[in-house]
Amino acid sequence: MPVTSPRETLRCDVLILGSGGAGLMAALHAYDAEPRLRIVVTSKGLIGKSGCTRLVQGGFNAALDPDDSPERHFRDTILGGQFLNDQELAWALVSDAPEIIRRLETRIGVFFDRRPDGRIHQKAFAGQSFDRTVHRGDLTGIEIVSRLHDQLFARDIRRLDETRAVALIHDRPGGRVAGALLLRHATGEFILAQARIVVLATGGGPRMYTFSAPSLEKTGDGYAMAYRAGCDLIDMEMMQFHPTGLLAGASRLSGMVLEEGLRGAGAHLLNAQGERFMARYDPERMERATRDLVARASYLEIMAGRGTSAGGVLLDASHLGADFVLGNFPGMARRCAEVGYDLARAPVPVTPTAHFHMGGVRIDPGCRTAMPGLLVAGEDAGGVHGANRLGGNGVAESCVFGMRAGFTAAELCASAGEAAPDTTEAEAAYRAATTPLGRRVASREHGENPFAIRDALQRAMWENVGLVRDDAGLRRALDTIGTLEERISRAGAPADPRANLTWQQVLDVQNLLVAARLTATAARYRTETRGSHARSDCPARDDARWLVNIYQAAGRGPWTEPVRLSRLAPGAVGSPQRAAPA
Amino acid sequence: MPAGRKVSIRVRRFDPAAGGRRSWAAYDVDAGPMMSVLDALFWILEHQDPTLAFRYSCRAGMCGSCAMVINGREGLACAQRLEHLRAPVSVEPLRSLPVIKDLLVDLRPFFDKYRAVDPFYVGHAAAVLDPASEPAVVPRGDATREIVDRQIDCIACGACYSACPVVSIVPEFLGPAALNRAYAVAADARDTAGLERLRRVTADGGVFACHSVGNCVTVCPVGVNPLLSIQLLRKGAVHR
Repeated sequence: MPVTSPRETLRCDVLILGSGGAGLMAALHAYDAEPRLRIVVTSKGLIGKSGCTRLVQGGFNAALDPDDSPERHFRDTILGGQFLNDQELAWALVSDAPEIIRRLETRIGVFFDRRPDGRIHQKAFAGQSFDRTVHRGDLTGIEIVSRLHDQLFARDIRRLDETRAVALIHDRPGGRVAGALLLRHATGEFILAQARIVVLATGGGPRMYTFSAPSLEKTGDGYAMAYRAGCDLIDMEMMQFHPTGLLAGASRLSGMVLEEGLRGAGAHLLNAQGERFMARYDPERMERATRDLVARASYLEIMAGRGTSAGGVLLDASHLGADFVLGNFPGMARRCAEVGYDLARAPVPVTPTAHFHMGGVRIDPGCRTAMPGLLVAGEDAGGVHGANRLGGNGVAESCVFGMRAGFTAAELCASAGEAAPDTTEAEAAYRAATTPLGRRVASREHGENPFAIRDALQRAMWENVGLVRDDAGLRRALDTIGTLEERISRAGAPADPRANLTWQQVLDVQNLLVAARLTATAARYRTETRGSHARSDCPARDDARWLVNIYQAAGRGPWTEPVRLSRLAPGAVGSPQRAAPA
Repeated sequence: MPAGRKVSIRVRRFDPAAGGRRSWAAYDVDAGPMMSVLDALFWILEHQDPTLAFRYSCRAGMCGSCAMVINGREGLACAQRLEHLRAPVSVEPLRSLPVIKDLLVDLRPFFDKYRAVDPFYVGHAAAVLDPASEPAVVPRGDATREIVDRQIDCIACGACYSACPVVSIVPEFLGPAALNRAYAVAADARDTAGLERLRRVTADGGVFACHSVGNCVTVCPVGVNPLLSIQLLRKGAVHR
């Protein structure tokens, strides 16, 4: 069945790409700010199912308690991020988070777990000076995204399920973003969508690694589209590895996170010899040290030959008592039981797993980019978390900045003119996307098979751009990425475009490779160790030289700009400033 | 099951838009340890048949994208391990829903009915965002809340809808998932739209069409009991 160039067109005010926490919050709040707006939400998968907010387990950080404060939350976030954060973005995060919890509870209908006295419960997470993580059991994201999705039904918002964006389209070469080229999975048809404002919220790219946590369809699409469209990307070397990804044999379940609340509640990490190895790395905080430290310690134990036969370490919650574990972590216990492990009574094999990309598109606190017409929110954006994200700040970011993007979109629509997307640009994107169709699909063992190319990329990233990096390895990774870019450009997919998973995989791997190149390039550039970025050839943190963000953009090598320490500087004591100095 | 064993999988193939007929295709899958049915489908896609269509997302039982009929019974493909299943393993699309291709079904009828019960929470118009205020105080152990808490775990995968015999013969029946959601939101003490929603679910196609067969309870992959929600709605247990 031949595909023809995009016939269907669509006009709207706000086009939202992605339906995780950021996309749904943007849609609902743009609508509530201005119900006359024509809003369209698209998702690569099913709206309400696709995306990583749904996979949030532990919870949502917000300074609700009178003894806590946004200032304290801010300080934890900046210390956790090792001062690489954009402090105005981090400030927006901590100061909106309590209001978002109230909005979710009183307007969206989310119900978080309660304390015995009936008020919202907050639990302990790593790297935080206060127990501030709001949660719904140990599967918090399901409740948040399900209720946000329900609210779509209360509003006149158009939905396009299983419709991925292939490219952002400008109004003219070098102009503003005026829409996007969309591809409907079931029919293989393309839609050229025109919008006053596009909100990019497709989610991150950790699936470029052998072990990773996100849902399977997260393939760095937002980074790749933004990069091709001319946006600046910040700190792409900062990839978070979560310490406790489940090891599940030959299953894709491997890499799925066992939530941080387990360590918050006192679970131990053991090497194959039964030692609590964190004593060697952070004797004070032990398993409750930040994710970057715990993940790296696990990795070093495995590399030193103290890992288990399955290539991991052990997470042991059994001393907390079976009733406690089953009562507080039923979702985690069920997940373990499915693959034959008894979380409540015995150690479970775990591995560090690529979990969250702190880097992303450069935005301001209103989610604006340097590209008129384009807003970015959630994991597609960078800068909020610096060099390491605290557990519980991820869903907070998606919701806070999703809401901000929605409000900004509504505000900009009042003045933004309408511009038609450039059909020449759309036609070129269409031709590039359809090139693989009808080419022979090579076998996995011989030739340009997209699944084999993905596996090769994941191995190269895991081995060379993983938890501990060095210049030689990073150069090797960049060479491999170059070879794989060449190979994917020749990959084929069955000719029929309808529900064609092999074709989708080719497009996915193209995007993963863009994100991987950005990640490896920035990692090679930063010759120090900071947060999630550890260089064995430059093992110290170097504030004199590297208190800078690394930026990349198409057609321009990496460059740096100093971090604006607008509220808190390294070594400063006391509270961060409430108001940013001008 | 030892690693590296071959497991026979029979997959229901169907391509209605191409005028095809329903057929079974058999594959011998290299089954490594702990592989799920979803892993097996990927193995087929990647090694044997690049045209196979199915739906997936989280692969960890949280999103409900990969519900299908496995050895005759609804379940999540990502949550069923090959080593626990009788071989040959048969895999079919969900029932009572149009097939787009192979195992990929069109969930619109399911979500249209979900939408029909007004599944969204309606808060007080003047819901307070004041930082000094506290969202609803609901003591632990509140009896209604304890039931609601279990019923909100629904991941809207469609397994119960597919397994329900009433859905298959009474086209207007809203089905277990939608009615369960109606109960969960109507019984939420914070919700203010209770009565309107109740009229909807007690009309034709609502709770009185249910025959209490209970397949919905049996197949639910996350332990929700839609039948209990239907029974509570019938008894008017959510009148406030």
